[in-house]
Amino acid sequence: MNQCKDIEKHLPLYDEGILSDREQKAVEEHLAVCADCRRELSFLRKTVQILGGLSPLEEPAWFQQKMMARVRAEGKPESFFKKYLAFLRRSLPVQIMAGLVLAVLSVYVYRAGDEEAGRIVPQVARPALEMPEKKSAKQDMEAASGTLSRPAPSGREISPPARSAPSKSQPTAEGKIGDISEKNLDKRKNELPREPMEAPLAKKDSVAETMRPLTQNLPSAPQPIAESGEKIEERKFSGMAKSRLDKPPASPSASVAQSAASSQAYLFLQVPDAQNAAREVEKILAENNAENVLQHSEKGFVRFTASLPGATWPAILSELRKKGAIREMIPPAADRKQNLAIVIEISAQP
Amino acid sequence: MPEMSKRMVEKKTPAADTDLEYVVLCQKGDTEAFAPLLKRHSGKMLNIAYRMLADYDEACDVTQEAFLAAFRAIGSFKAESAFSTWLYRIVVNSVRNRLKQRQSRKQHESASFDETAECPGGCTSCLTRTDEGNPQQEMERREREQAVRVCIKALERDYREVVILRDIQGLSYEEIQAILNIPDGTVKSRLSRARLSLKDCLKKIIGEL
Repeated sequence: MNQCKDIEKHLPLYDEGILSDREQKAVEEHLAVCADCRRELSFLRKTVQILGGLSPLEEPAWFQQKMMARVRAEGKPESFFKKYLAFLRRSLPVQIMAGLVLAVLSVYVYRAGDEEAGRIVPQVARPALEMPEKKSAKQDMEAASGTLSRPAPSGREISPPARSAPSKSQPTAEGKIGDISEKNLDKRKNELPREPMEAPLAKKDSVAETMRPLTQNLPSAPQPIAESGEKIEERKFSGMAKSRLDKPPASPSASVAQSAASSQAYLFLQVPDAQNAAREVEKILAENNAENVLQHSEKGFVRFTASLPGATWPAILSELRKKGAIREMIPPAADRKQNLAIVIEISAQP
Repeated sequence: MPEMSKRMVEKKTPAADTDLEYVVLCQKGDTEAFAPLLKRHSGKMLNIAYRMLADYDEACDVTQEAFLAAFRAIGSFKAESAFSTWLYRIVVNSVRNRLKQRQSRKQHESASFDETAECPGGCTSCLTRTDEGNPQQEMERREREQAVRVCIKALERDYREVVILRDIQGLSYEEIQAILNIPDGTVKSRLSRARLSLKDCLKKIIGEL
């Protein structure tokens, strides 16, 4: 019986001819004497026969056509729409939400960018709409006289000319310098904080503009002589400055000539210590009966504007020569009986 | 005995791989060259799938998936084995995946098998080539086929695969090794056990064979 068990393991592959010679011989010898194992082999052969005789399944009629259709669809190169515009096939709510998010983001970025630009570039020139409006000559005169009678304004309100090179925004600043009327003062105050870095004026432009109100009512004077020999250029002035001049000067020197012809004097003094010199100049002016003395000072620079009798000018000049080097000067008219509008600028030596 | 020897000779005869020329065309982008390959192998692939799944619709579905997978991957076919072997490996793997999905769905396989035993895929009798001669013989044939399906179903998957590929589809041992990626000894031992199990099962159902 044990032998039958051992032989039975080999029976399924006996007919395959893949058993070893020894196994094959052992099976043959056993089958010759064992009827049960012969019957089992018969069952196995029948089983294999049944399996091999199973009816093959037929594929459905549509099978190959459908398969080839799928294969063709698979093999077709991706269309432009499928490749690049596939996002359009996504659901509509997602697209709407994406659009909304984009719109909100755009507005936010636009606004943030505007504010940021305002902070970073405050000195950007304002458009002509913000320029002071034109006023009549009478209003200008009142404003000019008010400049002299007012107490000394703060440095921000009457911005002194910086000794540094003029910036690109100079033309806009120039337009605002001469406009210091009471009416526009508040407006200017509102504007100034937004323009903390208001571009400084060139010194000569500032001088001409500052002297203009002082000399409006003064008689004509001879042509000025700049000691340094430099030409003082006329810059364009907008608003009040423009209206003040009936006929703008044809040449840059004409403006200076006009202001100098009305008994005004200008002097630029360079000293070792500007603040000490300023105190002494103030003292000198007081001693010489100067009126309407306005002083504006900032680091290393002081400017005096005053009105004083023309006869005192030579004495003041000689005193000033002792204090430092006179770099520029526009002397007053010869008539010493008239009052004289003077501008003295004191700068520390570099 | 002589009948079985004849069958074995037929099985061992290696088929010339005439598929290669079409495979090369497909690899060059000729989609239509896939049609002859499909025509040659779809029947056998469907039969393998059906014998393993015992469901005609599922077998059709799996066969289509296997063909599409083969078409997508045809560029990677390097002719290290016959194209048919490569295709059968794909369909066997597809069947395995489907069986796993079936298990994950906790579908009662035996119930499904019982249904399909009667009429798998809607109408098995319409889909199998039948001998419409003697009604008595036809009835006996159907009974035998049903018994065989039940017994094949009762086999473990590994044994089932081997017996289907060898005894039903008539593939050679080398092909079975390549398809299932198992050694020769494993193929033989599995086949031996599968045949013994089937013999015992059929004896119980049919009686004396």
